[in-house]
Parts: sequence; structure tokens; C-alpha cells
Amino acid sequence: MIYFDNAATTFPKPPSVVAAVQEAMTCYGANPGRSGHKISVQTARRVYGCREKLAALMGAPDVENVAFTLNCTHAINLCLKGLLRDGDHVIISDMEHNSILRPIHTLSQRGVIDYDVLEICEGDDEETLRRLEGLFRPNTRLIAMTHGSNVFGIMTPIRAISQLAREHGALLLVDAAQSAGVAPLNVTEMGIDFLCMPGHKSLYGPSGTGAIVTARGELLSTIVEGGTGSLSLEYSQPDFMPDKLESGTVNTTGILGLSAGLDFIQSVGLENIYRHELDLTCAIYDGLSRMPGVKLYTARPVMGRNLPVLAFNLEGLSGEETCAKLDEVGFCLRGGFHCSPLAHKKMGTLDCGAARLSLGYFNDSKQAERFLREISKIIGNS
Amino acid sequence: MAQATVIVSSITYAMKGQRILESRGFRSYIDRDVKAYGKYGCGYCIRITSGDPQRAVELLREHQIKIKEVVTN
Repeated sequence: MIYFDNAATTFPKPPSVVAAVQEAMTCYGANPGRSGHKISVQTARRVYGCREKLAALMGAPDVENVAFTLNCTHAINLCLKGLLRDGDHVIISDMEHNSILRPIHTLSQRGVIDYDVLEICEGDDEETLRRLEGLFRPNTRLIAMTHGSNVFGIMTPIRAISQLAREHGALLLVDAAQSAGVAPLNVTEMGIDFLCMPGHKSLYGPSGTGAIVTARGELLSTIVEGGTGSLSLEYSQPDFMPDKLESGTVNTTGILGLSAGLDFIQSVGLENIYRHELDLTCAIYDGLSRMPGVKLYTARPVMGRNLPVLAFNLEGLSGEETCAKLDEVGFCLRGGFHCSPLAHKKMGTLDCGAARLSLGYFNDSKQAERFLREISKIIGNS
Repeated sequence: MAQATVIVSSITYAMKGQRILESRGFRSYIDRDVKAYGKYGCGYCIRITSGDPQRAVELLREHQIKIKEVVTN
């Protein structure tokens, strides 16, 4: 089995993450931040350690700027629904995953907000920004945008978008589902007000983990209230981070696994990870581009402009059919629409979907070569 | 025995506060303050066991640690 579906979740996880999860289950099984006994405090210390590492990786000014969530979708919903009010206008991109599109669309259907969709011009940031400028309104409150497409790998020019947002008095939420742990991110330097990410993709944590990194937590109303282990006699939810956004017991085992994932990234080096994955993606891109009957949808990937995510189709086959054939020969890819109708609409693949390969750190060139051979056989047999 | 007990809003502030104090040479540990339990509900405290407690508290305030109460022994 060769796993090329890391955009869905990374697999395998580093052995250290597996070990950390086991250690969490056997040694750190208390509820962190709830009791005064030694195991509870020790467990809380481990959770805090993960918070520190994530704050450092994402350039957050303070450790308490990190709030753990169940996944990136949960993080995005907490931000969008906590921030947006009647009459607000929001701008999203034409590559958004349903984790942004659906809550935004739902709020729009309820009459709470209006939204516009920005066309991202691949390879032409100036044009993208020019189009963005044209979408601002006096009531534009938020730009909510993916850092990079989960289908086509195209990245958005977040720094420049952030600057434009500031000029127009708007906030910026970034969906880093595909970029956290791959591309450099820094909420302070990049002017990101709300950074949302999963723990289980390129941060190499277990599923059931995610985070919001924000120094603007005071702007968010809560949509989930409950026990926080702090100020328990008060009927109101704490108004300080991260407690404000962390009601109920956190996924302690997951967070301790995530902590080991962050150690792994630190030990390998973010740039090394990105380069390795993108080099392999380019090798596959080059091989596919030489094959008749293969349709590619983007230019050759470039560091800083593309993530290691590549969509393609084979003549005469839908994306799902291609992936089914690849599954028969041991390759794991995702076919279909990838929870991203806007992205497929943009690329003209609404009728057939696409096959998506998304590489991780544990993929290698031998796997890439074998993949290309299998594609060649499938085309030859069609 | 602790020279001062700093009651904070949350475990996160307790951990952050302890880190700050450690980096400046103060020794401390995190505990539940049983005596203050009824006053603030669930919460944690940082018990300062070495160094000038007044300076330690100043340091915590400078770093925006949310302090509910300081009890000196």
C-alpha cells in the first residue's frame, strides 16, 4: 500500500507520535486543568508544552493565543460564527473547501451576511490583488481564505492580501489546512488575525486535533460554552484565551500526539519537509505531463506558490474511476470533488471530478516512479 | 514553604507564569489553592518558593498574567 492521500490526513505518523499517544494513554490519563493531583498537573504541563510549540511555530505573540479544537473545520466555524454579525460582508476565494464555503453560505442564506468570491489568478498575484480591491465594500468585515487549495495546490498571496485587508479595515482568517506544517506561517509577520489548522495533516498529530492561533480572541463571541476548569463559580464563560474557546475536556491524547508531531517537524525542518514533498510532486508532474491522455490543471509546481497537492484526470475516466484503478494496484489517492465545489468549478471539473495525489514526508522517489508506471499501464489498457 | 501564593485565572496562566518565573531564577510550583477554592471556584495558583515574592508578582503582572489574588506567607 502506497499512501498518496496526505491532504486528507497524514499517514503514517512518525513513530514518535505513535509512542506519544501510547504514553498519553498510559501515563497522562488525567484531565488537564481540572484537578490538583499530580497526574492532572503533569498532564496539563504536557498540554501546555504543545501549546508553546504551536505558538512558536506559528509566530504567535503569546502561548495563550493557541486554542485547541477538534479539527480545522471546527476551528473555522468557531471563528466565523463568533466573529460575524448582521450586515457584514465577507470575501472568500474561488478555491475554498466546504469548511469555509458552507458556514459562510449558511450565514448568507440566513440573511446574516453577504459574501463575494474572489478569483485567484494562478501565477499572477497582481491581478488577484486587483480583483480583490474591486470586491471591498464599506461593510467588508472579513476575508476568509485558504492558504492553498486542497485540490489543486495553488497558494494564495496571503501577505499581500493581509495588507489590503488592513487598508480596508477588514480582518483576515486563513484556512491553513493544507499548509500548516509544510509552508512557513507566522501570524504576526503575515498579519493573520485568525489562523485555523488541523493537527492531523502536516502537523502529524492524530485525528481529532486542530487549533486556532489568534491574538484577536477578544473579538470572538463564543458559540460553545461549558466547563473550562477556571472560574467555575461564574455563570459566564471566561473571557480570556484560551479558556474562552476550549469548553469541555480537550483531546488530551491527541494533543500529546500532536506535540510529538511538532517535535518531528522541528527535527526535520519545515523547509526540508516542503522541499522534499514538492520535489516529489514535481517529479510526478513532469512524468504525467509527458503522458498522452493525462490532463493536468496547473502549471508546474513552484515553492512558495504551490503545495504538494496535484490533481489530474485520465482520458475517459472520472477522478473516482482513476482512483479505484489505482487502489487495485495499491495506491491510495482521493477521487471526486474533495469537499471543494468552488475549486472544481474554477478548473472545469464539476462533471468528472479529479484524482488527487498529495504527498507526505514519508513518500519517496521509488514510490513516485512506480506510480508513473501504473498510470502508464492504466492509460495503455484504456 | 511558599513565600507567596499567586492565585491565577487558569491552568494556562499558571503554567505560563511558572515559566516566566523560572526564566528569571525564581522557584515555584503549581498547586490548587484549597483555601481560596470557595472564592474563585476552580483555579490554580503559583506558589513561589524562592526569590523576592514582590518582584515575582511584578514580573507576572508585566507579562499580563491574569492574577486573582496574591497571598503572602
